[in-house]
Amino acid sequence: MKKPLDFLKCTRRGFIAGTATIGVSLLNGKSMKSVAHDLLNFEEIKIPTCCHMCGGGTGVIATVRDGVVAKLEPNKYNPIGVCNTSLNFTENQKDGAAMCPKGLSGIMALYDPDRVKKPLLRTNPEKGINVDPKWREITWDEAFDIIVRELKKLINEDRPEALITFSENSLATSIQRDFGNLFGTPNISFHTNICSATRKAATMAVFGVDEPLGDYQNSKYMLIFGWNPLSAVKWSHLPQILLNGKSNGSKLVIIDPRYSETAAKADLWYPIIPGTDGALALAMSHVIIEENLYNQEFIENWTFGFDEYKKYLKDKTPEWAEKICGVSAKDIKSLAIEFATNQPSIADAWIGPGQQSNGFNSIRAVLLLNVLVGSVDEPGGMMMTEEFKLGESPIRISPPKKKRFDGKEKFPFGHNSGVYVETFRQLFEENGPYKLDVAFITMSNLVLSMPNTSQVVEGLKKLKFIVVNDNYLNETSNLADIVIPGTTYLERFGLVTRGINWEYVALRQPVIKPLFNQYSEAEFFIELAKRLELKDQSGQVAFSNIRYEDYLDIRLQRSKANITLDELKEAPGGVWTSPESTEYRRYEKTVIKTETKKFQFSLSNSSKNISLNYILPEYQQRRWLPDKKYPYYLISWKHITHTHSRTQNNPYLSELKDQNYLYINPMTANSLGFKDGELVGVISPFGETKAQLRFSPGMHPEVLGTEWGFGHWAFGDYAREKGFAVNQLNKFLVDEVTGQALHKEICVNIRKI
Amino acid sequence: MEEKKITRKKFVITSLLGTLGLVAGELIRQSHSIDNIENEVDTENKKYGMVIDLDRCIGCNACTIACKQENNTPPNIHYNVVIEKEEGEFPNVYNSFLPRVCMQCDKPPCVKVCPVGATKKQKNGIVSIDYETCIGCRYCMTACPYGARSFDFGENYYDQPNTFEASPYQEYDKIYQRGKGKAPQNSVRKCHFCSHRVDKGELPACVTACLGKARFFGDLNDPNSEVSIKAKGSWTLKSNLGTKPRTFYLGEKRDD
Ligand code: SF4
Ligand code: SF4
Ligand code: SF4
Repeated sequence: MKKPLDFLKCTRRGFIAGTATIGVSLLNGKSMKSVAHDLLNFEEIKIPTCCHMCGGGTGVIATVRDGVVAKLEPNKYNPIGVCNTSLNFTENQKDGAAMCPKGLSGIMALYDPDRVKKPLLRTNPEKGINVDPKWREITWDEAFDIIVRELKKLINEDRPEALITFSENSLATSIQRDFGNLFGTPNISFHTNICSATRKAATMAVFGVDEPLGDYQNSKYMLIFGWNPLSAVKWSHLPQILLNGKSNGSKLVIIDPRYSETAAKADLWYPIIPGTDGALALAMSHVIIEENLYNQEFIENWTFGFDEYKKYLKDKTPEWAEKICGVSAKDIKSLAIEFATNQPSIADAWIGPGQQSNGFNSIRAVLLLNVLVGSVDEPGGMMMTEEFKLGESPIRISPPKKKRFDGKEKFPFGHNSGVYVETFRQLFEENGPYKLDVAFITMSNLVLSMPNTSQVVEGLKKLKFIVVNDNYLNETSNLADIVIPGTTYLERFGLVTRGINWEYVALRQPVIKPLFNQYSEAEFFIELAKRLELKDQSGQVAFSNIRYEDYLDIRLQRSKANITLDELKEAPGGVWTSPESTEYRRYEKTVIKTETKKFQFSLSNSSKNISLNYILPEYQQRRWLPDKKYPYYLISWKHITHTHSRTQNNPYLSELKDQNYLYINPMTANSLGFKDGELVGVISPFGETKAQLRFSPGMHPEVLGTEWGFGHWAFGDYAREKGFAVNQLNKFLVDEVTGQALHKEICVNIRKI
Repeated sequence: MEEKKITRKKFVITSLLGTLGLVAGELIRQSHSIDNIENEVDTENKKYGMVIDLDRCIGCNACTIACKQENNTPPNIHYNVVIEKEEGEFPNVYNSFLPRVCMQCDKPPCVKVCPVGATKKQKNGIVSIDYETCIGCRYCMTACPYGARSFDFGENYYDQPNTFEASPYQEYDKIYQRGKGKAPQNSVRKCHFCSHRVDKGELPACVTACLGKARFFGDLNDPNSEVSIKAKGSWTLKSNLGTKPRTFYLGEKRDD
């Protein structure tokens, strides 16, 4: 007999009465309790928070029914998911906010039975890719005792720098920095340098800001190189603002070796040879100057190095670029003219070019198109976005004097997240400046997300003691000595700020108590600092009377928002937005934060000890090129369904995409005698893996490509043994300017198996 | 790990692509003026409809997932699917995304074949299924030309359903909780325009979450509603079959 639950036998009116209260109450950061419906004995609460299925930080409203997270919906009070400028915010808000499929699948991450629930201790001293750690559950006290013992060794030997941390970016970032300072290690590192450090460096070099974003909604021409904002969605408003721009009449042009999801919506798509974006952008600039279509006034008043740039561009003709990038001279010319004459326009590039060895210059060449036509901080142009800053940390301690292990200082535009590739190369080759003994790895699966998997594993094995703090057991935790259960974003506090064009800060808060009574990642570091009795500048034990919530409260009060955490909880949607609206042409009022205080065509000669070919954004071939033995470029990208290597065990997302394929142009495949769906060997000079071919007419015939994040062997059941990881095929290749990991610089061949 | 997931089947979208690949291939589209619709509807009531703008659909499947959590659908059951198709020859390539929900047909072939009257056309335009009455014969699944219906075999994502799967949720005007043999298990299921949300004055879950803001929903009896305005110049899937869908499409008009 099929019947609905007896206790839930209710009239619809009853149910509606029970929930109507929620509908009318203004959603604020505090949990709104609806009157529980008597018949149902059913309590429904709506709590605003911010997503962290990826680093995007999209606004979320969680519905909690009788203590179970039952629903996630977008939060239209939060700019992330609505709009990046205040001027279009209200207009966009009418259509509601948006949330991507990863964020919406957060409930299945929360209730994943594969989660780590208790601290785990390794009992098998042998470590290796497929070696079972033989975990034993231990208590939190035991876990802390063991970790404290290992760290005290470093303190007693006066080698605090032998501790290194690796972490997801936007998770307990400043707490980890404070912890590093208190402990005395400079080796606090984060994910950015295996992600988008090149773009940040390029935008710093050209504009003096680290994450500018176009005002797409008001643009007339959107020219995007190697970025797929309609699928590699980070901030959930990206698709809206681009599509709104399109419906406002803007043209969308995509430069990409593959016909991406964004190309699918574009007016024009130019398949380009990987790593040649810079040449195309330079030739466009050549045409714009030649045709006198540049903004002379803007250039005179606000830029540095135009004359040298102009001189350099003299022979960078469309004909020159055509031979390099595969886009015809005629097309380059018309692109340049269209870009310059359809104002305001935006030219942007992200990690397509960015994860290749000439990325810094390529991205600068692209960004300089905006400067040439003066479409900088104009409505519809490239906006000088700056992230809201929280106030100072209450922990008073200065950074240690010791040099970093990863040699970040050697990279002229090194990112303060560190240089993972150099860390692991030196660990593996045992030629670092000193010895590292202990690593904390927080919500990062380094084994799968770093280039050169096998040597990363060997590098990790050289560490004496590894603590992994994660929601799941995976390829990296398999090499750990202790695993600490992490929290999902629905279980922890945080203050979320992202780059939009007016200031905002949003609350991330536990919508339910952590399922296993675990510490959040930030609280874990705080507790550790307390147990180690680490002292601040004044000799007091740090954090002795500060909980994480207090820490956030103080930093919020010290920020421009100048409100308390409780006040933020009360604010609609748990969001504070600045009463000042988006300002254009901020450079007229404030100092441009580049070295020359101008937008820079060229770096100043005194600049940062940089080699000469980086003074101007010169085109140079990327280092690793196809040859007879390895004739194909291998590119990789992020698909909307997954975040890096951490969401593949989510059953919802796994149903959407449970493996990656090796995409190949059918012409290429046919000429080699391969069939659609065939399992092939993929070989590079550094490794071999198996992949399933999938024909895609949208692939450049000289290029093979695939999605990231697959190929797990030690993650949960939904994720395991599906697809492959490109990082098995590359080496420790690092960008010499920024320290960026060069995931996209791989050449391979395929063979029958 | 005490709970373990069941054997995983190949994702339903793949199989739907089988059935719907046909649909996608032979979409016969017809411009549909709103006046036609108005003549057919009962003007006393709200008559709901949905418009999906394919020019704004980016194939992200936020709709698919929003629907899954809203209706607690088990593995292999998706009220909403997005059919993706890449065609052409390099470099003239074309990629289309087609979200498919229940069309809430005004002349629904599924209703006609139901031997027990479990599936009904409601006054508000929504085609409903009464899970308690449904005997699971699945005639309606064969009758639906859009592949909108699927059968709930009682599978869960994990052998031991996880906390969310096992928690109470609402569909139509009832509260359900997954448990052996309890409805909606062993019933046919499909998109119902989130009638339980609509009754509360909310938008369907997929419309709320849509990343491209490609979906519009509302009362087609109100000529001033956003959805009525959007529906102008729209077309429907397989309009030659005379099913009179209440789900309309905009954009991406190509001659098949
Ligand atoms: S789409 Fe199929 S299930 Fe929906 S009303 Fe029409 S025939 Fe019935
Ligand atoms: S209207 Fe509701 S039931 Fe239908 S597809 Fe959208 S979310 Fe699912
Ligand atoms: S959520 Fe919207 S944009 Fe994304 S696939 Fe669904 S309809 Fe298309």
